[in-house]
Amino acid sequence: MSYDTHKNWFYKRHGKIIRLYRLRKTSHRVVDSEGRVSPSGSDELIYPDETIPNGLRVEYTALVKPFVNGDPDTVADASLVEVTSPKEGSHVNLNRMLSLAVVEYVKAQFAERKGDIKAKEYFMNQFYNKLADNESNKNDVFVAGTMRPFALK
Amino acid sequence: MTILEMMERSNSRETNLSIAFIKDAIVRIQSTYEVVLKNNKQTITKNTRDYSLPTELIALDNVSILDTEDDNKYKIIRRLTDDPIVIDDTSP
Repeated sequence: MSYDTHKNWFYKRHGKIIRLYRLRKTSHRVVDSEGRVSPSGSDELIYPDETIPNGLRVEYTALVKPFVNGDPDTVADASLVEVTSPKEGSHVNLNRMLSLAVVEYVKAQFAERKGDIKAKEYFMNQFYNKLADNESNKNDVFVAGTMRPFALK
Repeated sequence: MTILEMMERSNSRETNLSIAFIKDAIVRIQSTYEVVLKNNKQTITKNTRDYSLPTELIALDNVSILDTEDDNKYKIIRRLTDDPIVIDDTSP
């Protein structure tokens, strides 16, 4: 039975694998068969000491339906069908601002192919500006304040 | 936005190369911002330390372990920065 997993489990990433460790707490001195006493109160990391079905969940970003058959601005995501061999008429599954950022990225790559590094840097700057715009668009917060006659005193 | 519109905006006539650049751009966006998150579940096996990450992974967002004593909730665990000293080392 796993308990307090957010306190007792740890991971470390090694390339394409992750390593799991569990914290084993020893709160009292233990005497072994030779009469030796282990240090008191030492917590130790051990490998997972139990089998937990579907016990590990990893959340990650991935290329999810990068090209679709409909406009993602007007069609619900669940209704969009992935296009595995994209053609010129396929839609890129991003919102309008991110699509514009992608255009800047494509311009930057073509500029680099022509050897125009200044233009490449300019378009990459535009790319990151549009990504930042897209992020800041999520942060609009409505702040409401009480009018004076109704404010608590 | 369609691929054709992106090609016209970037003044490109090379379809395959444009599609490759578009894919690169999406990967770069996904590695920095969490536009779409996927999740993968695996069974934890006793005395097994190593677990494979999904092959399609671009950026790792979080790792959780099932707490069977708290309504089977997944709880996010912390990442170690250094290799720990492990007792009872049984894995290779």
